[in-house]
Amino acid sequence: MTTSPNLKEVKELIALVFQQSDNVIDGNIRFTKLIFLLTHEVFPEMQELLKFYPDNYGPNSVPMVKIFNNLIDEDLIYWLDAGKDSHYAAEEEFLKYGEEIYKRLPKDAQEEVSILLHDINEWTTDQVLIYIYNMYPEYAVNGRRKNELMSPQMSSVANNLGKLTLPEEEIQELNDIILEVEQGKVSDYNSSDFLIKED
Amino acid sequence: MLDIKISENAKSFLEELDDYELLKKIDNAILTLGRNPKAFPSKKIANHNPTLYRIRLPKSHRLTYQINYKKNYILIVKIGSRDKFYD
Repeated sequence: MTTSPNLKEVKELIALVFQQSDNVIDGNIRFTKLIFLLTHEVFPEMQELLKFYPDNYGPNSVPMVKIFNNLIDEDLIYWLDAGKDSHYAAEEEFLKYGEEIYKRLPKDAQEEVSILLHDINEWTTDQVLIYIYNMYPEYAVNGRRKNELMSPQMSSVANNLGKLTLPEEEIQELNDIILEVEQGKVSDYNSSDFLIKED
Repeated sequence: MLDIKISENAKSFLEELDDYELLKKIDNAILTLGRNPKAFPSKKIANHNPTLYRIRLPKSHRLTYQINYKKNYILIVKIGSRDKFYD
């Protein structure tokens, strides 16, 4: 079977997600959002190809869904269960493909992919949606759960990721910054100090 | 709506940032935090007084901030790429 260049690039991205997510993706919504974030935060050149649009559960992509379904038809991705919250996994062959893709990436991109998926894989699907709806509001416009997820009542509970223990040297750095603030090295935040006006 | 204050350290980072798309995203995130300080998934930094929170920003950046409800402001303490942070 001949693979078109576009299809190949999307397949590579999907293989990368499975390989870097310990080979389990919890559901369609989560999978779609992982691909969305990879295209918006690491591989912007893929945005034109996948044409994400604001759907009922945030960004969605018709080409991505089509290629994902092809991969299921080709038995490269399979359902771990067929319940309400479907979990997907990839066959060994596809994971090895993902590993090859990862190894071929420049060091910077490898780090970006690993950090992004490490961060996101710590989050619940609701937290992923909350992040996307806040950071990419243009994809939240049709979100059915937008108001619920973005309400202060929901977010104060939903967004708690627990505690982070930092090494002493970073605590010291933060203390130094706060000390500087107390000494007056602080100002009111004003967007126009940083953003130039666009025509 | 809380007032938003920014440390010299965080301000310097924004002034030197040459990725305009990222700058717009960070600006949007800061303004969102002013409206709702718990708007993003966040980690609370352990054993630190005052309490500090850390959130993810696009392209593996991090933002550390403090909420002062009593004085009605949030303070943006530090922003940087992940290699400048330890988590």
